[in-house]
Amino acid sequence: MNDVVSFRNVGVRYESGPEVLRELNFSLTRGSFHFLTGASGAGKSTLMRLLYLALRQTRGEISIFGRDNIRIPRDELPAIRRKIGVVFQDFRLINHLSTFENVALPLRVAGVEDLQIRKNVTELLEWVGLGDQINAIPSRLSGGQQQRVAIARAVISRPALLLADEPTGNVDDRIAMRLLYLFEELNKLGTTVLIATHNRHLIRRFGHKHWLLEGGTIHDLDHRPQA
Amino acid sequence: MAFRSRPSHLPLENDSSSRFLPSIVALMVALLTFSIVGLAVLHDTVGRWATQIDGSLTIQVPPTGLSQLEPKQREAALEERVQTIIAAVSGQPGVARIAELSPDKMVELLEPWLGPNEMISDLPIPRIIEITPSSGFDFNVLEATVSRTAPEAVLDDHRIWLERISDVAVSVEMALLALIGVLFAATTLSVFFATRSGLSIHKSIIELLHLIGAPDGYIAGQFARHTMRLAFLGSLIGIAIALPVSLLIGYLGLRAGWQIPATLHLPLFFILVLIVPVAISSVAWLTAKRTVLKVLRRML
Repeated sequence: MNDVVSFRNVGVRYESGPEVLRELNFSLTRGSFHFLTGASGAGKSTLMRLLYLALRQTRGEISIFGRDNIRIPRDELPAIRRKIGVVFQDFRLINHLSTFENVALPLRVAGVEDLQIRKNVTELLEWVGLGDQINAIPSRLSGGQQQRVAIARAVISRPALLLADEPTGNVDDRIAMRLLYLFEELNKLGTTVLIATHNRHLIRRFGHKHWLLEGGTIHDLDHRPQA
Repeated sequence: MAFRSRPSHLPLENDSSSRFLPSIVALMVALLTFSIVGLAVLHDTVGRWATQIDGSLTIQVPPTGLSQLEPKQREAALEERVQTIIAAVSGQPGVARIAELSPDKMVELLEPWLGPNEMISDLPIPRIIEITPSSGFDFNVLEATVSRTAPEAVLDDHRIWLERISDVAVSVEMALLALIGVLFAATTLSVFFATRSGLSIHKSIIELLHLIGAPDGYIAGQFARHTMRLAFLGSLIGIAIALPVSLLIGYLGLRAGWQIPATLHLPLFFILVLIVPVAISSVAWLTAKRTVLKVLRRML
């Protein structure tokens, strides 16, 4: 099985409202890199929530790492979630923890040794340009710095699947490029990457596959019939 | 490079529950300790009463109709009555022991009220016969025998009122035990609500931990350890308040002539008191853990 994620006729509705996502049929093959665009309210965040197992579909089938998401026993979910790195749009940093501890969180949860955590986190923070902010708490950091902490936390455990919701929204172009290079490096190491973004310049610059979420369903822009 | 020490992922120390929980637990533990001390005292007293009940039948033989006689003749006549009663009663079933309370003992008992020995010996004091009942004892048969043998003798059955007082004391014991149960339940409820409040306050962090793959036990463990620390602190404060107060009451009681119950001398009692913080902390740990696990199970 080469698909990390596979959606078959997936639909989502909130309570008795209309379907916000419908007839989703796509796969993310191992080591693929996709950009996802779509207007605000198109359902990108809902799709992301499905992918990081925070939400269940109301119809259809989702397979993640070869497992039917509905049938995964509850006690096996943490191990699967640890294979997924997520950059949330609102960062979701823990305000009372230092930059170091925020980034170290997935490793601590996974029970990694302290020494290894120190080495990996310090290296990564240097890489994202936050080596001098290691003990700073998130409220003392700028929006762009917070975003980089969120990204570092998402990639620290070298996830098999990386999901990023607007990861470059608050950083300048130079930092945005640097972060995308980081994602590419991870991708070369085998991580499957899906990035939701509005930054068309980055999409063009990196030239990966481009999906558009419109009308509740996904359109492959690389294979869409030309008008 | 300077690293901060590894902190808890949940900022539970800043919660309002962190401030009120030790105070509530301290109060509960103080009440628990008072209840345990009270229970020990009461249990000991009830035990002593129960022993007294076993040998608390007495026959009072007054010198009725003997006042005209000389003291020596009076005493001889009274002695004859006593011996007649003893002879009549001692053969009855259910009488384990029957004996006259010695004159010296009588004088000793009456001295605090009636003054020194010389004065008492001139008074027409009734003789007292003590009976220790055993199985098969029948109060009505005894009463009939005494009344037939010496109509002027009075049979005192202390058992009736002692039994009643003892019944009341046992009820109070039961009430104290129930109170101990209620205090444990109240502590458990306080921990439960403090934990629920903590879960609401830190919902977003819990969600995040959940999404990055923290197992339920990892999150519940953080709550449980924090709650246990607070409960242990509260318990120590409670013990620190309750023990000196109990000792002061005991000291004042000793000065007033109370008897210190044997139970309170036992190492077991002190172990019991010292176990309270451990027990309360364990209850808090378990309650917090179960509460968090229950709430987390509802999350996807």
